[in-house]
Amino acid sequence: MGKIIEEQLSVWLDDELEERESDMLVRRLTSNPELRQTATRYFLIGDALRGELTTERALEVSVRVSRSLDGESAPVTAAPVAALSGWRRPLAGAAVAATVAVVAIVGLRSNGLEPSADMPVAAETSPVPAYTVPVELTRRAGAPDRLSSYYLNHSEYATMLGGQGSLVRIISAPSDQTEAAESAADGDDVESQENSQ
Amino acid sequence: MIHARSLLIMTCLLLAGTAGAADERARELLLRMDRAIEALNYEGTFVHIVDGQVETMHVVHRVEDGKVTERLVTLDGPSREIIRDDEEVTCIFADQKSVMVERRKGDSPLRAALPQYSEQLDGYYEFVRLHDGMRLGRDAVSFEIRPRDKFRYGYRLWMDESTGMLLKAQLIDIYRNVAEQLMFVSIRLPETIGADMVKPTIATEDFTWYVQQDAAAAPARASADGWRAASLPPGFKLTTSKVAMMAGAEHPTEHLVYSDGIASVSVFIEEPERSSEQLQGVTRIGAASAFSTMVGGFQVTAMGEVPPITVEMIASSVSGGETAAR
Repeated sequence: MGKIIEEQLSVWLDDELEERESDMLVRRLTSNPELRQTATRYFLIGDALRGELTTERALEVSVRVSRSLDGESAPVTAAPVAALSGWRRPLAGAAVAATVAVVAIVGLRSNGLEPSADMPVAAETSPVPAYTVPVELTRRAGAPDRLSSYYLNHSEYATMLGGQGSLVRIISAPSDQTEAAESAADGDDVESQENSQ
Repeated sequence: MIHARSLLIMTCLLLAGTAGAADERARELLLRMDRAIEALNYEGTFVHIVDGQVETMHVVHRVEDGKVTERLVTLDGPSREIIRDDEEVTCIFADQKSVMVERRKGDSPLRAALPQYSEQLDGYYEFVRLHDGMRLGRDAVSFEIRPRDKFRYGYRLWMDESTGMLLKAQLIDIYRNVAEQLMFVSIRLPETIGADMVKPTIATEDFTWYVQQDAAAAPARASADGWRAASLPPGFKLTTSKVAMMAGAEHPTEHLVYSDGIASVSVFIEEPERSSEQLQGVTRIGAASAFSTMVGGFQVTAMGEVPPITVEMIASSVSGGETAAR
C-alpha cells in the first residue's frame, strides 16, 4: 500500500479529508480488502490511544483475526443459517487466545503512554460481564434464526441511533460460521428439521 | 493562589448558568435530527464501525407524498441489500441466496416509536452541547446524550446545521467507550429522488424467501394473556403490545415494546417450537443485546440497544400468560 493512501486513510479517520478525496478513498476501500484491514487496524489503534478500546472488544477482534488465519470453514448445509445470524454470545465466557497484534495495541495504552483524564486504565474499562450463561442456539436449517426475526421486528420500534442502526446491524452481521457449525454438529436435530420443512 | 481559586469558582458558576439553555438547545437539535432522518431525501455512503470491523454502505432515502422508501446496500463484504417502506422490510442476502421479509403496520410514514422529548427525559439523560465544526464541507453541530444510570447507552451526534441531517453518530457504552459508530463519508440531499433509485439491485430468482405473515392474520390469542415485565429501569414504559407470526414459526409471538423515549427494548414471548429451538442467556449484535429465558414453558427474549444488564433484568421479570400455559 502506498504511503499517500496510508496518510489519506489516517486523515480520513480523523474526519478531516475533503469530500472528493474521501469519496475516492471509500471507492478504494471498497475494492481493496488489504486497505480495509489497514483501516480496521487504524481504528483500533486510534481507539486504544483514546482509551476507548475495551478488553472485550480487543479479544473479539483477536478471535476474528485468528479465525481468519486458521481459514476456518463451515459445512455448506449450515451456511444459510449463518448468513442470517449476526447474534453471538459474549466472548467473556469463551476460551480466547489474544493475538500478538492486539496485545501490542492494548499494551501500548497501558504501558507506553501518559495516563490522562480521558484514558482510564484497562482494569476499569474492562466490562467483564457477570452474565456468562452459555447460549443454546439450535436452529431450523435454512430459516432465519429466531433472534434475527425478532431483531427485524424490533427495528420498527427502535428509536434514535437504535432505529437507524438496527438495519445496518442486520445487513452487516458477519456470517457466524462457528455457531452454524456448532448447530450442525448438534447432529440429527438439524437434519430432521430440514426434512420437516 | 486565591486568584486561581476564585477564577475556578467563577468559571463553574458561569458554566452552571449556561447549562440549562444549552440542554434545551441540545434537546431541540435531537428532535430536529430525528425528524430529518425520516423526512428528507438523501443519498450517501457511510462507514459502520463495530468490534474493530469497518464496513462501507450506501443508503438511498426517498420520500414521496409522505411515503418513505429506503434502500441500504453493502459496498464491501458479502452482497446484501435491505429495502424498507411503510409496509415491509425486505432483507436480501445474496451470499446465502435468501430473502427475509417482515411486514409492517404502515400506519405512519414515521417510525411508530418517535421519541417523546418530554421534560421527563432529563431525569434519565443529560443533554450536552459539544464543539461545533465542519463535517463533509457542511456546518455541523454536535451534542451528546449522556445516560444518568447504567441501564442505557449514550450517544454522540453530529448533524448538518442547515438541514438537521445526521452526519455521524457514536454509541457510548456504560464505560464511556465508543461501542459503535456510523459516519457518513459523502452525502447528497437532493430535492427529489427517483423511484428506480430505491429498487432492489440484487436478482432473487432462485433465492429462498422467508416471509412473516401479516400481523392482522396472526391469531389474537396470545395478546389476551397479559404478559408484562415487572422490573423496568426508571422511565421505561410500555409503548406497544402486539402479536406477530414470525417467518417459519408454528405459533404466534407476543411482542411488547418498552421505551424511555430514547432507547427501546422489545420483549418477545412465544411457545417454543416442537423442534425445541431454545434460547438461553445473553447474545449480542453490534451494540444490541438480547437475553433469553424460559417462563412457564414459554420462550421469553428481551432485546434492544441497551446494556446486557437491562435486557436481563427485563426478561427475567416477565410473567403472565398463565391461562395460555395450561
